[in-house]
Amino acid sequence: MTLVQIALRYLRARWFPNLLTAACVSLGVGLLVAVIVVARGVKEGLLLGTSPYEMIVGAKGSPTQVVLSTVFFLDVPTGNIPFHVFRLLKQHPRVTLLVPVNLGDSYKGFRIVGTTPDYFTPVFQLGRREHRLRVAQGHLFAKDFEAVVGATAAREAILTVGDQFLGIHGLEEGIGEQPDPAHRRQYTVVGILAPSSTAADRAIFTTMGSVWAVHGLPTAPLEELLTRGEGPPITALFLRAQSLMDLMLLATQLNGGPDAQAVFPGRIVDRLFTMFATGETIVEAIAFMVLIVAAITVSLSLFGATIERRREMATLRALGASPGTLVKLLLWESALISLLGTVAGFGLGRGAAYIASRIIETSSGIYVPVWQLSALEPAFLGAMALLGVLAGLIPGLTAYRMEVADHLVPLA
Amino acid sequence: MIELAEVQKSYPMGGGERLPVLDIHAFALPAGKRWAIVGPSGTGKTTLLHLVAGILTPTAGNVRVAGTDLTSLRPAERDQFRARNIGYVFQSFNLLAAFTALENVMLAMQFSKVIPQHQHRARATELLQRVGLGHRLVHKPAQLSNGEQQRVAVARALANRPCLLLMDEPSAHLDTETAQRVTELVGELCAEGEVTLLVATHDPHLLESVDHVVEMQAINRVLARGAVV
Repeated sequence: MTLVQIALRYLRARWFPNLLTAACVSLGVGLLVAVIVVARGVKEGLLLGTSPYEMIVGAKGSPTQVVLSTVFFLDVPTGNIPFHVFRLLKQHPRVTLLVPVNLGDSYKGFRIVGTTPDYFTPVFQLGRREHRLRVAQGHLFAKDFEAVVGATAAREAILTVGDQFLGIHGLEEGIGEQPDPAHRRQYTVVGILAPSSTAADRAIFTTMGSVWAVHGLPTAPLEELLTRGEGPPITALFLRAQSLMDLMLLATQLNGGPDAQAVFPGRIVDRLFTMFATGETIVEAIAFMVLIVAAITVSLSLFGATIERRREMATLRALGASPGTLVKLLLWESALISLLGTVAGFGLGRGAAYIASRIIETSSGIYVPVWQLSALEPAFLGAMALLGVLAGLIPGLTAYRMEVADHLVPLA
Repeated sequence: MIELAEVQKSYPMGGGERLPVLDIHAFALPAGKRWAIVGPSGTGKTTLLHLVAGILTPTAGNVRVAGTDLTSLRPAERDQFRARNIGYVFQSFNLLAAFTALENVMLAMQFSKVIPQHQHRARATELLQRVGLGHRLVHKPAQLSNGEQQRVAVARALANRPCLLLMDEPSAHLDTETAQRVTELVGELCAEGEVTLLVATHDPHLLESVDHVVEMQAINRVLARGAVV
């Protein structure tokens, strides 16, 4: 029998207290893993969501609100920008991508977004991971009041190609209010998007003209409006330029004018991270303390077991096990309990993170990836293993210093 | 086989006082015989066995077993010496509760490293069959009677083919008939393996099976001084 087998046998003999101890460890590990994974997931989700756009042009107001409302369809937009801003940027030689976005109505809580087919061309990218917007069924909208529905929106609102639905004004109509008849326009679903793990999953897309028409604004095909030089206001513009310098110049120009503001989504995401960082640090500190408590629990449990097994430990010594062998045996027991708790904790943490990610995705539309292994996790596993081994030191030293003969006296 | 010279053993009592338990001027037992050490409870029999086994170290003096001075060895070396050369059957058997009869015997071989690892199971099985427990290999101590536990302890003590077998009050927890059977068995096994036996007892029935008897009162000078042990 190896020392590990002996340790396993002793653990099995006291399976219930050992299982409770491992459960304590798993709770600590699970809490920490969940915090790490969800925090990283939210961060990646925000970065992924904003990745195709270098700059967002929106109405003056809170830049954070501009990003959250136009990219993630959270919050209400800060207002609209005049059509001539769109025209100016459309004709700008250094602008490589310009996607207009009109927000207004909704259906069953899902935003109806007026845009152009260009919205579906950029690639959402984070590291090596790429997400594309792809029509899974049907086709993209070609006429006003044709709609392409995001995968989650289609599933939850039970919409399929050919279905018709009525939009409502804003995100929800007030209780007791009569629906605004002007906004009760019928859309026809012509396409369903494949799941993309972006905010597009939770939106319904249509032409710019549809949103203008619903709001009683004079409308015409976008090319015609551009030629004419005037058109209705637009909520926001997503933009890419040839170089960073071009972006900076455009931002200076736009921010200096009265009509719009240029927002760099990356900076806004950074600002959000900074805002959340303190809270994240506090939760991590609490989770680390829970881990230390768990390690102390392992130590106490094994210490109790060692005291309880003094006679057995003394017998092992009498059979030839050296004091060092007893220390190693208890370190194995401690490490195995910690390993069990850590593995279970990883499962628990991942499970909790998955549930949290679903809740965040449902409530905010921010995709929270939780399955990728974080660089922190292996380091954390190593730290927990070390902590687990350290937890066995006190019981080990107790066994090491035990006076063998004292515990071999005949039983009464 | 066993030589004790000017061995004293005392225990701290607090306040700097010590309680003397054993004071032996000279005590020697040659190899190959069955010895019994007798005396009423509290005369230092168990302490003497622990000293001979190297479980205890004397306060003063030297203990030599099979030519090795145990008092000169470090604790880990003493443990190894004991594992390799001495079998010990405790009064309360001291079987390990979490392990089966077979595993209890195998564990003794695990720590001594005298028998190659791949032979442990076969050797343990053979010994348990020899003591009549071939049908109880996978039973844990709690599932065995006192007599069966005693026999597992005997098998465990002989697992490493020791040159010395120590037994502490082997009949204390057994009825007369079982104690007699165990004693006969030990006698046979010791004869087969040329094992020197030293058994501590105050059971007169056991004395018939040994070659020589040593009185604790005759060797322990603490008793002669009238001290209470």
